[in-house]
Amino acid sequence: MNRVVAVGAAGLVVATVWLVWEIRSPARRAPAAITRPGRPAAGDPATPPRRPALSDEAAADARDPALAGEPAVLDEAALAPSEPGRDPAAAPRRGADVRPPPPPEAFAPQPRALPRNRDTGLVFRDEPQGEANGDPKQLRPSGPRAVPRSAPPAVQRDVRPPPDPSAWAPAPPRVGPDPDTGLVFSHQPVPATDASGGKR
Amino acid sequence: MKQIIVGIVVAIAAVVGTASPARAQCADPSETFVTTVTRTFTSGSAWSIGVSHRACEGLAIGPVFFTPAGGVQQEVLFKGTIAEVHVPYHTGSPRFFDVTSSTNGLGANAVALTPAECGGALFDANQICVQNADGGYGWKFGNSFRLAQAVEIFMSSQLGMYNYINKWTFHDNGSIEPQVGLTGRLQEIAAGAGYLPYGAQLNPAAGPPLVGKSHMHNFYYRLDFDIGGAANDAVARINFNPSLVASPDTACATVGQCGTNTQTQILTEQAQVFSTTGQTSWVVYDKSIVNADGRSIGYEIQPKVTGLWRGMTGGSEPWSNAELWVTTFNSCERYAVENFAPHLDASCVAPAANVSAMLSGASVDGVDLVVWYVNRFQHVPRDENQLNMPIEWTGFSIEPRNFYFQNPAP
Repeated sequence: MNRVVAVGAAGLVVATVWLVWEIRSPARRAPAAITRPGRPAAGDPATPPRRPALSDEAAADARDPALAGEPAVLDEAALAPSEPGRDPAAAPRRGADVRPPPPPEAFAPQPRALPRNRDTGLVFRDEPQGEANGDPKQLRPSGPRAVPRSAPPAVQRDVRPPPDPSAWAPAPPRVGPDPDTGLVFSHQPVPATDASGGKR
Repeated sequence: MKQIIVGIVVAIAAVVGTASPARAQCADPSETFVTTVTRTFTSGSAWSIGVSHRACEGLAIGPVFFTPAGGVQQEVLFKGTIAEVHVPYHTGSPRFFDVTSSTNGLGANAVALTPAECGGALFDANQICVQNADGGYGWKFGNSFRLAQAVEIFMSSQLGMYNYINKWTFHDNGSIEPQVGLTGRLQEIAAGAGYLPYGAQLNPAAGPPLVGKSHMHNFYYRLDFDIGGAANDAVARINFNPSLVASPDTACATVGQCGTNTQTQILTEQAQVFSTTGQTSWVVYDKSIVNADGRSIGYEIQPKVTGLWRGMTGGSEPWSNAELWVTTFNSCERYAVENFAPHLDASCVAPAANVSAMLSGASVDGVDLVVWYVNRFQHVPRDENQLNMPIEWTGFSIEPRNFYFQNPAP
C-alpha cells in the first residue's frame, strides 16, 4: 500500500514538474489547436449540454489574467490539445494532416429513445400568428377596398398565353398494371458493354 | 491545488495529443463486388446499378445502365467514385486527404448501419444501404402529374470526428445525384483570439474564445462515363454568353437583355474552370449513337456551385486550380490526389501523381474518357454545430441530355 502511495506521489511530482516546464516553454504560449474527443454528455443522453463549454471552474481560471495566453482548460478533460505547442504560422506538417481516430463513444450503443414521442404532428390554427397581440405588421382589411390603379399596359409578348386546354382535362387513367418492380438484387455483376467489359 | 490537478489533466492530455494520431493511410486498393440492384419504376423507366466496396473510396458505383420508358437500355457510367476528399482549414493547417493518407479510407471506416437507418436492404456487413426514395413531383401540368421515384445507395464513414454520408440517388427521370452529407462533430476547435478571423467562436462570448475553425470540403469525383459503351465518347462545355447581337426577337441593344448558349467540344485532355457568369455545365456524349430525333445521346454534369475556391496552386496543390478535368481512361489513374501506392495498385508503374499531372494533351475526341469533377463546400462553424452537427448536404446533378427523345418517365 505504501509503495502504491509512493509511486502515486512520485508520479504527481513528475507531472507537476513537467507541467511547470511546459507552462514556461514559449511554445506552449502559442494558441493550441484542440480537438474534442467527444466524451458522452453527462446526464440524460437525449438532452446533451447546451454547448461543450468551459466548466465553471475552468472558466474562472481562464478569466484569470495570469493565465492569459495559456491553453484553455475545457470542460475538464472533454477537450484536449491535439497539437500542443504547434506554431500556427508554421508550414503544415504531414503529421498534422492525419485525422485522429474517432472517440470510443462514436461507436457506443445508440442511446435509448425518449419514452414518449414528442412529435405533435401537424397543428393548424385559423388565425395568423401575432393576431392576438395586434401585430402591426399583420395586413388586415381597413375601410373600403382600395380601387386598384390601372396597370401600365403590358407588352403583349410579355404576357403568358393560357395553357393548352388539355392541362385541365381529367388525368387519363394509367393503362395496365404498375410495372414498378421495387428493388431487385443480383449477386452477379452486370457486364459493361463493349470495351467497358475489359476495364477494371 | 485545483490548478495543479487541472494542469496535470492538461499535461496528460498533451501527452495523448502528442502521441496521436497514429499515422494512417489507405493501403488497400482492392475492390469487392457487393450487388447489382435493378428497379423498374411505375413510369416504366429503369435503372441497373452495380455496387462495389473499396477500402479507400468507399462506394464504387457502376456499371450503371438506364432504360427510358419505352426505350432501350444504354450504359451511362462504368464507374463513379469519390477520388479524394481534400479538407484544408482556413488557418493553413491541417489539410486532410480523407481518401488516401489522412485516414485509412472511406470504406475502411464505413459504419455498420441498422434497419432503423435504412428503409431498404443492407449489404456489405450492413455498411451499404440500398433503398427506395419515392416522393415529390416528377412532373405536373394542369391537373396531371406524376410522383417521382428513385433509388438511393449510401454509405456512412466515420473519419475522426466527422461523418460523411456518401449517397448516390438514381431518379426515375434518368438523372443521377451524387451527394455527401456532412455530419458528426467538429474536428478542430482552437483556443485563442488569434483564431477568430479563421472561424467562429463557439463558447459564450464573454469567455476566452474557443473557435471552431472554418474549412473547405473538396469532394473530387472520378466519373468514368461510358455513354452507350466505352468507345466514341466526347465532352463539351455548355456556357451562357451575354449578347448584344440582334436576336430574332429584339435588337438586343441593352446589356442584360439577351444571351446565347454555346456548346463547345473539348478536344484534348485539360482542366476546366466553372464560370459563374457563364453558368457552366459540361455534357458527355457518344459520337456514334443518336436518339430518335437524331441527336447524340449524352449526360450533363450540372454543378450546384456555392462558391469557387483555390488551394496552393503555385505550390503543392496544382490540382486545386479548376472544377473539372477531362482525361483519357487509364486504370492507373484512380485518385485525384496522391495517385500512387499504397493507395494505388503496385502494378501501376510511375503513375501521374494527381489529376493535374494526368493532363498530357491527348485527344479526348471520340475515345474512352474520364471526367473528374470537384464539388466544393465551405464550412463556417456555427453554434448549432454543437454537439452533433445537423447534416448538411452538398452535391451536384448528372442529368440526361438527349439520352432519349422525350421525358423518360412520362
